[in-house]
Amino acid sequence: MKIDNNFKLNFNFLELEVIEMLDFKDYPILTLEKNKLGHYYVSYLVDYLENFENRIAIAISPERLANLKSGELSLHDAFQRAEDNSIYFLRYDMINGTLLETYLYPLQDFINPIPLDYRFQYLISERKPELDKKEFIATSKKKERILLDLYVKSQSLINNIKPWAIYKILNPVVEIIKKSLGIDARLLDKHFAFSNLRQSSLGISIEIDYEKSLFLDLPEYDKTNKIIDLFNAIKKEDFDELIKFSKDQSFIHSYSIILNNIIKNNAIFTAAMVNPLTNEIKESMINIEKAKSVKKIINENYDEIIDDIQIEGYFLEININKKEPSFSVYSQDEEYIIKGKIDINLIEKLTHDKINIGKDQYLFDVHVIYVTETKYKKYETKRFLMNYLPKSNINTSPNSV
Amino acid sequence: MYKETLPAKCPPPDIREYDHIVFRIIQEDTLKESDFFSYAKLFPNNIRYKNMCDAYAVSFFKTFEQTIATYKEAKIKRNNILGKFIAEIKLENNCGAGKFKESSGHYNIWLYSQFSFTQLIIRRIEKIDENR
Repeated sequence: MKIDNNFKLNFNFLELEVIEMLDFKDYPILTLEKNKLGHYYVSYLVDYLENFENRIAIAISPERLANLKSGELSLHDAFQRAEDNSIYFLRYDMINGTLLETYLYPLQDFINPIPLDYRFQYLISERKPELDKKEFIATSKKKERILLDLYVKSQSLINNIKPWAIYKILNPVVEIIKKSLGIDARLLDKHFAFSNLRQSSLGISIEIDYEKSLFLDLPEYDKTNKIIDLFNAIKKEDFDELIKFSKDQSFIHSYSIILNNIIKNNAIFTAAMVNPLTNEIKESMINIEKAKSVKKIINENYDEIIDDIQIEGYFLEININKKEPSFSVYSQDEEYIIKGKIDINLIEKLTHDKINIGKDQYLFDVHVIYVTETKYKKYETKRFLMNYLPKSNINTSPNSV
Repeated sequence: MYKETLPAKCPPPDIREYDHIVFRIIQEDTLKESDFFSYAKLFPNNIRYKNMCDAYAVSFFKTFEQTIATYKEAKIKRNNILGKFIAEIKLENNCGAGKFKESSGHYNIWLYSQFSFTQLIIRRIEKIDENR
């Protein structure tokens, strides 16, 4: 980089302290520094000449720094569009690190030496986030609720919370808990709440309601804390043990989604659950290596996960003239449309029944097969309508179901 | 435990040992002790990096190509202080512990006090072809 003495300052006013090495390969290529007022600077090594270490630096806001760390902003562009329109050229003594000369370049006179394709990988720490156990127990007691605290760390979550963290981690966790407690979707708001949302990676607590009793037993905790056992499962026997306590295997499907997204996003997932009556805390942590090894066990042993569900809603479509008759129903519980094939034994009943599409309410028995995702095939959910009963029948004669 | 006196909270807790074949840029066609000096060891009086944990680690690379790419980048910056050879060596668990970045194939290793370059199994040492 050519130095222009016209931009040389007569004093070295920048008193920067290196606070983080952003890219270090035997020598400090990119550093994060702070001045006495607490403002951030990123500093890039231009070259070593004679006994000088020559660097360029820009002031950077915390928001832009987060963009830089997440890879959304390249270093070249960060300098090219410096927020205060100026670039510092700093000459240090290579031996003792003293700042010798400062040049202040206006943006229009700056020739950017940073390669366009220069990238650095910001490694998020695998350190487990510190759980304040005392506070965790106190909150659970105060709220009189079982607490499940989740934390997802990933490079792509540095700047904001991405949809995958909500839809592919948080949602499947909620699905597993719903299933384990047998909570109807319509009663979710009564039994569930979210609190303590933390950004910069996703942290959230799930509050689970429980029946108050005079005794120390807490059936809701006994059921839900199995989720931590699931996150700690590392061999087939662990899964088999969990299946024994479960009505079906669909939790493995939900867990597979979580694992896939830990792998895909190189995320670190931690969970902790507290029993407000006994103060017991159970914890687990999954990183990419563990996720890969557990996913391998699931793929080898549970390539098809079977679940039988009941849906309350109404028919949207019945097509029995196709080679493979199909249906679609609107689920009032889940507020979404479910499509699938009709079981061959049901065709005759469907032909004879007078079905009022879009109006009459039914209770549908649906057989679900989740096909686990592998390297070669995507997730697949196959649904088969096995039976249906008009809701009016159920309400008038409870024994009919 | 470590070769050098490290600053506080160094190395980070999420480090691990590696038993891998790795590459490192070295000065000459034979390994020397100074080929494994960290930045902090080379510039012990540099106040800027004194408290930086990474300055006490040494770099290795996963592939020959990644080492060449680093050499090319470093050549602009480091001029005469950069070596001209690449050694392919076996890094073993008892050498040190560190972190690995998949995208750059870069290992940052804090060497153990018992580490000696003489213990390393050298698979090859190759002169860097500037035109490669």
